[in-house]
Amino acid sequence: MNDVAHLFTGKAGEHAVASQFLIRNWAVAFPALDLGVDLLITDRTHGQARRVQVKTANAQEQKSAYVAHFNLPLAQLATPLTPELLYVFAVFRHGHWSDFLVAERQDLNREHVLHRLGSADGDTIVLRLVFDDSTVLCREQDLSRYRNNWPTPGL
Amino acid sequence: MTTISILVGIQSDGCTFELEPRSREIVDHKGTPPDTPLPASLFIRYEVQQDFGAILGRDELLWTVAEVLTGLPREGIRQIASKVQLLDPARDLAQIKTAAG
Repeated sequence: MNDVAHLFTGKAGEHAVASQFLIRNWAVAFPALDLGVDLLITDRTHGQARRVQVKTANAQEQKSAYVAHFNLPLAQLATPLTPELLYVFAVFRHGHWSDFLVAERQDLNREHVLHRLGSADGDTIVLRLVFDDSTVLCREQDLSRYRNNWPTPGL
Repeated sequence: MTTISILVGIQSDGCTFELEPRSREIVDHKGTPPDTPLPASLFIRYEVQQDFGAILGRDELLWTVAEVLTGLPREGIRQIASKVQLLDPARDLAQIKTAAG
């Protein structure tokens, strides 16, 4: 069971994220094949479409905060796409999805290139995110602005 | 003088281009007039699947893409960069095309 537990968490995270988009009036589709995109969302009024990559992690408790680790492939982070890619980082804690960080691929790539976001590990970067009630930090970088930064259809 | 780098994502139906973040900083600070909105990216779609290797190797395409993404004419780009290059992140940032500024 343990070796596939992450598959269940990952799929549950995708559905939790889909729910968040649906409640914000995005139409959500699950691609039949996993080719690096977990969800496709479209705005039926304006015809806007986005790819969504969901990353999930279980929270690790600390004294006054909690931590979640996410891996991002560097090539995916740096490659422009049409429609563009949106990353959603979902954290599972105390039996529910406690946090969602929502960031455009282009914005994260800029953070990585210009401000050394995360730590390099071969072809991937590792984001160690530290959450508390008011902030989300990746080393010294404040990523709080991405917390629940859900896109609005038509914008 | 510096290099302006453009990242390209090659898809089955076309290519998406964007300025590499450091190049975007250079253009923002040195090139573009203030308050000029620049496109975040540029997508060129083809109705028939193409040999993008050959298309992306064209000098004119690289300059046209660079002009759109920087908001500068070719002469303006030449004032801030000695070189414009096209990089493919999916292939370890392999250089597809370079043009002298």
